[in-house]
Amino acid sequence: MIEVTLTVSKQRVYDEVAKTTSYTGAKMQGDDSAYDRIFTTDSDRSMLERFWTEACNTTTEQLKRFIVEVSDNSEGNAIDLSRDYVVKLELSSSYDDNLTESVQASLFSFFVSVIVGKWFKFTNKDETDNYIADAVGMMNDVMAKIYYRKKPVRVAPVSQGE
Amino acid sequence: MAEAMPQRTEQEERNAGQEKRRVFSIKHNKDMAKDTITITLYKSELVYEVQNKTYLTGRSRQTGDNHEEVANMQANDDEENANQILRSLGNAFATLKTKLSEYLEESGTSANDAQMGGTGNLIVALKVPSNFNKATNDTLAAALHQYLVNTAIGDWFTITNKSDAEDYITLAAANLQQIREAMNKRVRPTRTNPTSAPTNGTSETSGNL
Repeated sequence: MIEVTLTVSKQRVYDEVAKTTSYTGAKMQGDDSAYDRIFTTDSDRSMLERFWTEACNTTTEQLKRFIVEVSDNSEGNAIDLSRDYVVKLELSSSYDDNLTESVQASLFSFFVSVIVGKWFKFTNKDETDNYIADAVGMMNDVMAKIYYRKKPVRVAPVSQGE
Repeated sequence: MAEAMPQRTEQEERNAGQEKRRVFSIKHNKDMAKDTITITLYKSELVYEVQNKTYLTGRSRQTGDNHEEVANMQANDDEENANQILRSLGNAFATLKTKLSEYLEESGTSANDAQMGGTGNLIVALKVPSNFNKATNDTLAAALHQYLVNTAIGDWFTITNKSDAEDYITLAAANLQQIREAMNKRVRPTRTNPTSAPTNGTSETSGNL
């Protein structure tokens, strides 16, 4: 078995969510209030925190078959930006270690898409489904890589002096 | 000065190539009216073929969103996978011994149900009549190998991919038929011309007609 630890930085996810919502608000045409409504600020943090916790729970549910250890992401730890999502997995011996970076990146994108999608339910309904679909795609991508198996390797038998 | 390596003939090259691809080995021993054919089946080859076939099956069944199902089909070296495959191979080997029991001579007086290990070989020493047709040795060894592999895959797919399991169980039954056929092949008797007796005035009668 192969042990792999995945970490999703809460600070980086929130930064990315802020960037995405800011960009979406700024580019929206014909709606002067869009930027203020869509862009997530520090004052929206408690709401985002719930979305973060939901993303953590969904990820844990998806990965539960492989989990050896997972960080405490209950809502009681809200607003603490240093509390990243950290999960230690025990994967198959045929798992391809070269995919770990990519799994990590897809998982990060999953968190961002889920949080933005859920945030848009309140502020920008038209784009909610796209982000939720993106999130589903990202989690599918994570699972595809985790379940990927390297091809078996043949070891030629040593003939015994025949 | 180092001696030059003798050049291999075309036939030798072909034989060497065949030897590399073999997943078993065969030995002969002549003992009075019976011959002993020893067939060695390498566990590493058996396990590899099970893993490779289940790997290819899983890969060809991918639909883009059935990752877990595909991964479950693909047997690998993980403990729970290896245990299941080795147990199946062990069971299939025990069945083979029963089928071939009239050609086997084993003197053990005890047995147990411990799972066989993952290394080493499975050896079958068959006592066959002197007119057994040795041209079928390779067929026999290949069929023994295939029987074990197909049975193990049939068992594995019964758990992980029901729709393909029956095919492998049918293949294993066909392998048993091949084994039976190969075991029953005999060489035609050859006539040896009698040497003519020296003539010394007497004559040997050969019966009255």
